Amino acid sequence: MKNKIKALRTQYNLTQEELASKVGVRRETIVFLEQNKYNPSLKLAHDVAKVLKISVDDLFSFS
Amino acid sequence: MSLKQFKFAKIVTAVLVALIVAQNVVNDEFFIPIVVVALASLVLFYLKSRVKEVVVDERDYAIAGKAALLTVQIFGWLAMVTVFIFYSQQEKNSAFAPVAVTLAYATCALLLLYTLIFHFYDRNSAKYEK
Repeated sequence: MKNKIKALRTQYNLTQEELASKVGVRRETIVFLEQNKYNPSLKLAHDVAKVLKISVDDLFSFS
Repeated sequence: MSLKQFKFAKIVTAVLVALIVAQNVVNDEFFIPIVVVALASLVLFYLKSRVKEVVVDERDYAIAGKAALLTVQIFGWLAMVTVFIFYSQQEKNSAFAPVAVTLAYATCALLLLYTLIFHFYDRNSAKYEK
């Protein structure tokens, strides 16, 4: 599973710390998410997508 | 309180508890260590509640779950092998049998507790999910 979190976070000038704070997780979780090393829960995926103003379907892609 | 301050407080508390417990155990005093460990737990619980940043998140819980399962599996197998070895060697040393029996009951208690907690979360996973 791949995602566009890093690209969108940079686009919105958000730091990993800020995004983590907005979705209620530790910064390390955002690091692992961006590296595609962690599959988030549906709630976290929804929260991240909401902050980055994109749909969950567009944020994550299965290959 | 920041996460960094909490981590520092945790280390200082752990060192202090270790020093006090070690000193009292050496002096055959066992009441003070129990009180100190309980007090330290309460202090850390209070400090953790004051941290504004996220201390533990869903990834930590996922890792903790996997680690707990693997720990139980490894410990169960190691304990079983140790119990058989100790029990088979009881003629060489009379202390082996009680150690084997204690370890066997402790392992059964651990596995029973794990099973009970597993079934509790299995039935209530939606309610207790973090």
